[in-house]
Amino acid sequence: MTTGKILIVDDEKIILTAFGRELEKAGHIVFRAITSREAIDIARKERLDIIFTDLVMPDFNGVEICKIIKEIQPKVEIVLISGYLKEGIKYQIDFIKAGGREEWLRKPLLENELIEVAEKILTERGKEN
Amino acid sequence: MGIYKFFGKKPLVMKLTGGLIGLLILWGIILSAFFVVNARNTFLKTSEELINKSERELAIITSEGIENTKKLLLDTSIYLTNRQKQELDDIPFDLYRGDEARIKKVIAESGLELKERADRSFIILSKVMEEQTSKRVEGEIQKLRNYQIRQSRILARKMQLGLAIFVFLGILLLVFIMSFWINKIVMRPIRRLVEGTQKVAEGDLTSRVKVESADELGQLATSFNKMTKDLNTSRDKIIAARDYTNNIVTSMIDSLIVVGPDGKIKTINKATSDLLGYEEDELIEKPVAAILEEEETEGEEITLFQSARMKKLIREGSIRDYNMTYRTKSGQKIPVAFSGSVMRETHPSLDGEAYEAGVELETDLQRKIVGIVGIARDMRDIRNMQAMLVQSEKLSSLGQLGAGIAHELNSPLTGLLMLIRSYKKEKDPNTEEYQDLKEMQEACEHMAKIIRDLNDFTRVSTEDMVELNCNEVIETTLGFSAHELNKKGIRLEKIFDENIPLVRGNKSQLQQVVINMITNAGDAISGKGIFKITTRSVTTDNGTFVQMIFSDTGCGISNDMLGNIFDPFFTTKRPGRGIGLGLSITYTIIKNHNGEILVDSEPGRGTEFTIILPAA
Repeated sequence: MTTGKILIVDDEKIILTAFGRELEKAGHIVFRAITSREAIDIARKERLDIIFTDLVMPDFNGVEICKIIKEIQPKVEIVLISGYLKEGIKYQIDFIKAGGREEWLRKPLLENELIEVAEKILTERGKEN
Repeated sequence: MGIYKFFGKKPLVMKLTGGLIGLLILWGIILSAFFVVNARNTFLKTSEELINKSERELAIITSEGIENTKKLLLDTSIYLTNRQKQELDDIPFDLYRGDEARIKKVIAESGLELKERADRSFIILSKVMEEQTSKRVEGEIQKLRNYQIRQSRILARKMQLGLAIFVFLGILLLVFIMSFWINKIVMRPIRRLVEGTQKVAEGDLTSRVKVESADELGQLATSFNKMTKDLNTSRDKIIAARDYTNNIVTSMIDSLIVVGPDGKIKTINKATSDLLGYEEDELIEKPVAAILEEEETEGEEITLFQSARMKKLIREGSIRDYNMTYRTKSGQKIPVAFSGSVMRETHPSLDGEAYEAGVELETDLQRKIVGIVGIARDMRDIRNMQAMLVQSEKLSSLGQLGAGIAHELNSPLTGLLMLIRSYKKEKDPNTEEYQDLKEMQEACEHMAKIIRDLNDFTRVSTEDMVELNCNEVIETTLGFSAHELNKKGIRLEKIFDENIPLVRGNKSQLQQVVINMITNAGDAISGKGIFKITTRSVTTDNGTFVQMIFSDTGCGISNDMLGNIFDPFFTTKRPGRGIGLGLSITYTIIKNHNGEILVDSEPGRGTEFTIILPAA
């Protein structure tokens, strides 16, 4: 089982708690950011494998975060999480252009969806490396 | 017909005078000719007769005288001497006149010598003869004269009679000819004119009088024809104008009603009679209060013209969009927006006749009110639309509220759900904690579904409209949701019209509709059943439409609930099976697609939803 360093960005604290617990249980190293600013700071300090970011945030939105972090760490895989079908679709193209991944997660997530997506991405990265 | 033509152009009086003079001249010529010929013939005849008679008489007289003289001479000459003759002369002549016998006796008794006596008697006789002859001739001439006078008198009498008869016949002829002539040039045209006027009086304006001359009657006939033609043209124009106006009134969609000053209906149009279910004739002269009542006076016996608003109408001349109620023949009440204006007579009347309805009129215009013309707009559709607007506004504000709630709840719920799952995973399924966590998880999943429904509900929009084939939309939806039906043992039947036209729509929204239909059918059917999807195209006057019919053999919906099924949060499902947004979402989506959704249901037999979308 591949493990990696994963950052979760969301302005909802319980999301950070829940996602973190889920991922840590699976053996990943988890960083949590409740604002974009924190997320960027962490991205500067740590070499990350995956970032799960919320779309709608108080300061920067998911697409903007993606752009900024991709400049810092071009190799990191960034996955969008959104509650809205429409917005997800609307921002998906911009997000992909900004270097984000194609697949995105819709809240609420299905059981084990997060772990499966994380492992899938890490496996791909492992093969590339 | 040369003369005729010549006369044709002359005035009637000239014609009549000319005809009369002509006839008189003709008559005079005939009469003169008759007289000349007759008089000449008579004269010749009379003269000849007279001459013949005179000749005859003279011949008789002459021959007699000669004979007598000869006899006397023979008797006496030889006896009379000159002296005797002298003696004879001395005898008073009177004694012998006319009496030969006495003369002879005188001579014989005188005693003269015979010779003398003879001579003397001869002379005397000659004288006597001469005298007698001249006397007789004179007498004959007198007789002839008398005869002539007598003949002339007879002739004159004859001629008087003849003249009288002739004049009588002539006058008769004259009268006959004149009457014919007058008939020809006066009576016949007048008769034609009379017939013409009668026809016109009977309403036949197409009749024309034959023009035979250019005199006054001809001019009259021409004028009459022109007048009739003009009248006909005017009548046609008036009829056309009237028909046009009538057509406007009849073709009006809104109900038109004209009420007289007596409060009785004078005119209504087809829209009114159709709306009220009356025959047009039934309402004429009926009091308007029978069909039109003011909303606030419903049920009260207040006549239209006594209400405050009507007084206002009369005072101000018009009212606009005044809420009133029509009462149909069957008693149904129809809300209408009544706009009316006062009709005054076009020309001012100075007689100042009192207004019959007893309303005090403040007429600054000195024109009599002839009625009130009103338009009543059926407000049922508008009221329904207002209700629908309220409904859609309700949905819209609900949607905004829902969006806010969904947005705020979705993230924490996601976290909560994941944490519960995470903790549950660590527990032994046999423990009480595991069971509690499982219940928490289920509760959260239920909440998540509600939030997702709300989310989708608020996301209904008209963007991303493309041309779609409804069959394909249904097929793709069935691809990932048909298993739900299969699991329940519901048989799916598809009757697709392969040739249905495309519709303009949002694919995911229409899929959502199909999912809702499938979900509803799945929930309605307990146990085995049939879910049938039919597509077909329908063409009406308003265009071509695609119909999608979803029918199930489920529990059905009772009649009192049918009216509410599209309301948000209305559900017949038992708790936990649905929150009552599915059909509301469906309704909103279909409305956004300019479509219709109809429902027909019978409790225990099943439900049929028909979705109608306009072809692209």
